[in-house]
Amino acid sequence: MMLAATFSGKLFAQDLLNGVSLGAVFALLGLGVVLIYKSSGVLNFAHGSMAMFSTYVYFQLTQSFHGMPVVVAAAIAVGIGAVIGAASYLGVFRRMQDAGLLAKVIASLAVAGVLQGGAAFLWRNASQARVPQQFPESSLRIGGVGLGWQEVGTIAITVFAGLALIMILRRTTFGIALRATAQNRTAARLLGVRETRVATTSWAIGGALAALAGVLVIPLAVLTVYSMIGYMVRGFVAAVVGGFVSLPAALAGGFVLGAAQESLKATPVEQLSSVFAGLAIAVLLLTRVERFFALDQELRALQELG
Amino acid sequence: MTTSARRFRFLASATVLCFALSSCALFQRERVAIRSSSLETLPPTPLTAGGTTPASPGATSGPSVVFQPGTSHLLGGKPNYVSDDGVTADTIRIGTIQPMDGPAAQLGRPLYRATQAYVNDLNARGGINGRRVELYLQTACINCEDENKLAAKALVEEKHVFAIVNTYMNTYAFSSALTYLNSKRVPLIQGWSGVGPDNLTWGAQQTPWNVYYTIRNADGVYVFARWLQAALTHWNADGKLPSGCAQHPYQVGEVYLDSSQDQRRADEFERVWRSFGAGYKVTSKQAVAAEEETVTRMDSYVSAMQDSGACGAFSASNITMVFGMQAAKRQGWIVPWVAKSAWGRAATDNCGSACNGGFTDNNGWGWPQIETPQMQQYHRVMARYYPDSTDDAQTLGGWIGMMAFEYAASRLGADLKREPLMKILTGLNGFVTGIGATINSSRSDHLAMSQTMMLQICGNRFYRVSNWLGANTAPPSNIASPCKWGEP
Amino acid sequence: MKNRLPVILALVGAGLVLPPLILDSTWNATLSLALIYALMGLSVVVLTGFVGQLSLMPATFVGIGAYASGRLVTNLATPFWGAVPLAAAVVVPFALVIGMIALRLKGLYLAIMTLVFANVVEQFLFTQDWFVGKQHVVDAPRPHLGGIDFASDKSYYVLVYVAVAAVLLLTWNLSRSRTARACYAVRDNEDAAQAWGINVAKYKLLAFALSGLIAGFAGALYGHWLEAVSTGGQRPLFGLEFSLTIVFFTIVGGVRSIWGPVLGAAVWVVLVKRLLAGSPDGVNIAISIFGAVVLLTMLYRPAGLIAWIGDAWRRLRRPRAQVAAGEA
Repeated sequence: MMLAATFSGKLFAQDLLNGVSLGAVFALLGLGVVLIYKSSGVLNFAHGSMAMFSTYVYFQLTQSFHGMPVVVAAAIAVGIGAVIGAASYLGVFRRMQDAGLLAKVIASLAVAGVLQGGAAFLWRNASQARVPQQFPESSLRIGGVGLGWQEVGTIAITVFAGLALIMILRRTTFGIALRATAQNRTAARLLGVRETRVATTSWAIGGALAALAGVLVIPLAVLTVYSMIGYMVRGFVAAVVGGFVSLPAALAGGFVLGAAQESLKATPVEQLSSVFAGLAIAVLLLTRVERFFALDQELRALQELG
Repeated sequence: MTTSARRFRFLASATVLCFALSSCALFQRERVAIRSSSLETLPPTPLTAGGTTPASPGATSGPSVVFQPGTSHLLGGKPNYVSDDGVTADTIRIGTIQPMDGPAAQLGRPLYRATQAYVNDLNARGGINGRRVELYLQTACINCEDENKLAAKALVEEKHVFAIVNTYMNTYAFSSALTYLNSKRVPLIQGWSGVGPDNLTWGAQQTPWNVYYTIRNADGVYVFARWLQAALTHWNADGKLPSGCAQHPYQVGEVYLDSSQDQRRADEFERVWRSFGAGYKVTSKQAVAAEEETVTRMDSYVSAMQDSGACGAFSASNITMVFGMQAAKRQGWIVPWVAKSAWGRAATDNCGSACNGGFTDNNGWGWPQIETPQMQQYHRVMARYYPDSTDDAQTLGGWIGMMAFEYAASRLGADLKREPLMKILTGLNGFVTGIGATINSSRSDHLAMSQTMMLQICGNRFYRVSNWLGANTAPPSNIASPCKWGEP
Repeated sequence: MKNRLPVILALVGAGLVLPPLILDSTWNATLSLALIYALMGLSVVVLTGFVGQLSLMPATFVGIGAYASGRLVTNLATPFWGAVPLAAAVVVPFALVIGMIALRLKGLYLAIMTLVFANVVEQFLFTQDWFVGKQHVVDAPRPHLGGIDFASDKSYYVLVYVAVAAVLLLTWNLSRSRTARACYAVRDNEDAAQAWGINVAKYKLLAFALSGLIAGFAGALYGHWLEAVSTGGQRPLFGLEFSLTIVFFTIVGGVRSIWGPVLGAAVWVVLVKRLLAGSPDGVNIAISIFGAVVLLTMLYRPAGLIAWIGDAWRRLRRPRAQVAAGEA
């Protein structure tokens, strides 16, 4: 609650900027969720827990190895995230390809539970941890408003990762194979696409993106076993913008969601901010936004899986 | 009769029954009595405005007590004794409810360790008047109201504990358990956190059945205000305040969490600050909504404070200080900060250089490097049973709680009952623990401490920069910390 | 069925009478809590098990029921016996709103929608003074009836047992009715059901309404179990974690059987909340193991633990030769 009684342009601009950086986190998570869904039809409710676990690894590295540069620790944590993602697929979801939606959702919730319980036990003496920033502690000032370098860096990395991912999906063999699988699994298999390999890679990238989101945003907050849940939910909203199949839409959607949510706080209707995500998703889903993004075949596949 | 007909009859009669029951309710004359408390409720502690002088330590009616946990020998083979539940000829059972998992585990675990270590040592010394103390732990996730209630029930009804110690009560999720424990008249002795008129507004805030030893709100706020005043004076003299502040160095901003507890502290600070003189203004008060906003909006709050012309900042809780100072550093707004009870890992684990120079207090619970026999004993005992533990607010606070319990129980001798125990605990005069501030409790004041020590964060470490300060004590002119009065 | 009736009645009677007689207060409180949790899980069964609508916000409905019942008794001087059904009824409009949204959403999207809604309500509605009262704790006292004071755990256990048994019985009856069969058809293949002329929308809405009613009822009983319903500690009481917990143990128990949540809640409340509460690390380990159990259940026996038990029960009753045929 701000004490500024009147609408302040400066406040609005500051909140908007903060919102963009928050939206970058939503976008990163949304990208991972979309990737995982495209490759295996699983809505990964463990996404937040994967991010949390990897960030705890980052925490542990910075605690145990004081000489290690923060960026190296972060990179290792992202690698761990990839491993967790791949392991989840290989251990659990690979056998559930033909299972129903409910079973998949519950299985991902179970993975989340295991990660959460494990993290709560392993780091029971650091149940509220703080981790260092990767970027300098000062800020970039433009006029009267500013954005911390950590937040600037988050935005930059997200944009880069998103564009890179989109390129990968368009140009590389892996990307084409993934899109083929998402469109029509049987046909893809018949054409020789190694589904397991594609899915494992997708899950690995997804897990890595989750970890990346965690190590970028948690330095500005407190790390607990529940820290990433709220972000994950917003990441789902970003993924929904793209109908779960479009990476560019998820990327843009995340940013827009964050910017809108935060900038509402500087307006007279600031209460709307906390419900904005809910409203957004209601509108998105009810207007069947996925129609704008899914190809006909993907749409059919969606309806089958839905 | 066919199965479907039978089923229909069954359903119909069930429905009729349901309606009948509900309509019975409508015709019932008797209103359900709102459960009235079976306890006397105490008048709320008048929040002593900064003007009135709180009792200074030692200036009490009775002789002060310097308590060093040792051995007590009043039982002496007395065969007949009067006691409450949880007490036998040779044992006393006490319980503690702690969150041992989840985000609050790093509050619960140190508290449990300190309590258990104390009990181990107590028994090694011969117990309380020859009675061995048994500690029973029940874990409950801090936000799980039903677990807290079950834990309280299990301790009282199954383990038959005499009293409950060192249990974190300062959360709404403990409400149901608190009601239960008060109705069962089970003493709650908290060295670390509890309920008082300063925090929870609900229900049985301050009852005859709980005590919680910490610096009173009004006294604490006075100390913080004086300290901030001193810091601003020093900064101004050194020319370190932001430009424009030399004209009005005593304009400050406040930032706090949007809770009733923090709000009251912030209001009290403003009142005290303004009472210092004409140039003393609070130009900005920012209430931060819960934890999420500390991530996203701290920049906005801090920039609002900066824009209002504030030259210093008071934070009513630790979270808003840690994130506030980080945001302030990002924006290049370097001013003195004083916060309430920011002594904890949040400030030193990776706040980085942003938190350098920030001031906070220890809530009256002491400092590990104080050289007293009691503190040395604390170190000895903790090293013996939990060599890997660290010293923090929780362990020291918990230690104080146990000291108070041991003192009170040992004074009662063979006859060990709850009401006399609480009478002692709410009637301590000049009770010196050698760990925390002197305790002067009364029936209407269970917070009982009027002094605290100021600490400073410097280079990811806490330094003690004052002795015991009360509302009447002026800050020292020099402080022993690498950061001195401000950033190095 | 007929020759099993005496056995069933005996078991039901034993469940009613034995705990107050032979167990202490705390265990009675634990078991009544388990029954209330089972009812929460039942709301998930009705929605997800019967009609296939994946909703991840049961705790939200439970919370509305809990606060409503407390406020009715404390602020609107409603007797307990009227407040509890009323509170359950209050939840129904909320549930129907979600239901109407669900009509337009399929599977995955509904799940996300409910997730987001749960998040929103926990942050928005449950923090509003007009809803939870200014003090953020709502008293929910227990009633008196004749000479019985239900503040006693044993009496309240009996009350809860009767209430839960009644709801289970009604739901069981419902599950064998024609309505239910239509629901199952919708669950298994919505388009086919539509093609067969089943009014899909009607059954979905019915399921939401009933699920909301049951959840609200469970919430009211829960509120009065607590006797003081707070908004939670550092996290809201009726938030996402609670919802996911309910869904979790219901799935483990078996989401298509009304006994599934009973089993799941028994495991969760008795084992995790009670038996492990005496040890410093018990709960952490239990949660991880629980998660692992769920994983294994999903992989090898998606019907849930209740299916294992069902198999064992059938094996006991029939000769071996028929087991293979019965297992189809």
